[in-house]
This record gives sequence, C-alpha cells and structure tokens, in this order.
Amino acid sequence: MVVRKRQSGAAPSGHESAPVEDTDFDTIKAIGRGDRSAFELFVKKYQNPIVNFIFRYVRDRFTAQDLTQEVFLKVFQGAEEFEPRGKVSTWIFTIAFNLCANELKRQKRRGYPHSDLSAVDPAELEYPAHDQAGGRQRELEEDLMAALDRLPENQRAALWLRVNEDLSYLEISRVLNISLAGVESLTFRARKQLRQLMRGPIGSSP
Amino acid sequence: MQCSKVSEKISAYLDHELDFELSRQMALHIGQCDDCREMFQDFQKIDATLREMPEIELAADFARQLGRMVEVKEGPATGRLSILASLGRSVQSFTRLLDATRFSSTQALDEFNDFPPFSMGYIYFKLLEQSGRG
Repeated sequence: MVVRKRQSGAAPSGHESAPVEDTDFDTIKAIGRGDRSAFELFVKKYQNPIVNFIFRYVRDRFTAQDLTQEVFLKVFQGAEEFEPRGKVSTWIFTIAFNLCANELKRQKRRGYPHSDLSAVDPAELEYPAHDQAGGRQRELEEDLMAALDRLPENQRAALWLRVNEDLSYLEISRVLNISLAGVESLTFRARKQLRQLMRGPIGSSP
Repeated sequence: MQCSKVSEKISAYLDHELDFELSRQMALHIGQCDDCREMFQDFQKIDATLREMPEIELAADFARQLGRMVEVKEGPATGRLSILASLGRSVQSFTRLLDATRFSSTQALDEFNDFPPFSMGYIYFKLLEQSGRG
C-alpha cells in the first residue's frame, strides 16, 4: 500500500436535487447476477475513495485496508437485493461508515486509545521533491493532518465526504444517518475547529 | 446581516448549500466585512489543503484479488446450496465440540479457568471434568 496524492477525481460527484442517472445501477445489477468482472470494475472505481474515507475515519492504514475489503464483500453480497432509492455511491459510503463506526466501538470496548494506533507518520509519506514553497505546503498539510486527527469522528467524516468526495449535504445525511441541519453543523464545526487548531489564519506563516 | 449569523452559515455558503437569496446576502456581507471574509478565505484554504493531502492507494491487483475471493466464497454452491453447506459445517463443528468429552483431562484448557460461575463455559468445563473422572 503506498500513499500519494490522488491524480484524478475518482470520487463520485453530483448532488441529488435532480433525478440522477446513476450508471452504477447497471454495474450493481450485473454484480447481483454474480458478474465477477463487473465487480472488479466497480472495486477499481471506488477502492481509493473508500479506503481514504475509512483511513481518515479510523486513522489506521491496515484497518482501513481490511475494512475496505469488507465493504466490497458486503457490496457483492448485497448487490442482488440493492434497491435504487439513492445513488450507489451513497450506499457504498454508508456501508463504509457503518463498518467504521462498528470498528471504533469495538476498539473503544477493548480500550484502544486512538492515538496508539499506527496512524500515518508524516515522515512515512512519499512526498515528491519540493522547493521552498512546496515545503511550506507540506508543513501545512502535516499541520492539517494533525488537526484533522483531533476532530470528533463524525465531523471528520462529514467534512471529508463533502470536500474530498463531493457529496452533497443530503447524501452525507444519508450516509451518517443524521438530519441536513446536523450535516451543516458538523461541517461548520469541523472547519471552525480546524481553523483554530491550525493556530491563526491558514497559510499566513512565512 | 449580522456577523454572528453569517459566520455560522459561511461553511454552507462555501458548499453551495444555501438558497439563492441567502447566498446573495452572504456574498454581499462577505464582500464588506473583513472578519467574515477572512473566515471564508481560511475555510477555502482548509478545503484546498484537504484536497491536496496525500492519500492511500491500494495495490494495483486489489480488485482482482477481491474478485478471486468472491469466486472462492461463492464457489459452485450458490443460494440454498451454500446455506446448506454452511449449516453442515456448523453441525460438524458442534459435534466435534461434543466429542471433546472423550478426552480424560481438560488440563490444557485450565488456563482459561476464569468463567463466571453458572455461565455456559463454566458448566461445560464442569461436565467435562466429571466425565473425565468417570
């Protein structure tokens, strides 16, 4: 497993205010019929958005990898009964979120403090060679990563889904099973807290 | 609009989740108020940095591995047949568990001797102990 910047917006996008033509429906139908190649294509499409969402939530790369595998196995098992009430992407992020929430509950029961997990050490990340400006950007990313880790899980999940996966508040409300106002509040508090945690206006350091 | 109300809505404004009229009022206020504009710009920078953060990438053959896994899991038995196969495996495990009574000692399991009294585990090992003596 390597860590690098996502090259393309592999994430699903689009808001649900208008009827959505979701091309993933056909793929899910095919998976439901046991089509392995459709399943593999589906995994390829979503594996990086899912593993990164899970990783930001559970903060452990190995747990993230295991849970990602579990998400797709659940997709395979549930594809036959899938009912297209919302977008497929919402469904798959919901599966991921529920698995993450269960995993964290399990860890808390067993008394694992989050900070003891093998969260990514910034020194492990494969950053490309950078100039001075790139160095400042890296510092900013490291500060933000540390600040992000200190947010409550739901705030982190809501903000990540909004910013990095481009889910609408409605979609996020379905994933997290909360109200629209709840999503608005979570994303606002997340950004506000990140701003405070990063000590002063972002990017103002020399 | 008051700053306190605007600041609470800045996040939703940035996410294009406000209606047209409220968005218009927000834009007007942010254009005039230094504090709210600074907050809006900070939020924009946070988002931009989040999008730029390094991400995990799974092995190139992750999808293929999973594909193989579901094939093995499904196997030739599907639907009712796979349920029957699972049931068969469960029955087999259970009979093996009962068969443990033929062992004369539970010595190797004594280290787990911390079952609460009258729990299933406690009763099971008590019976096992008695049958061992008998």
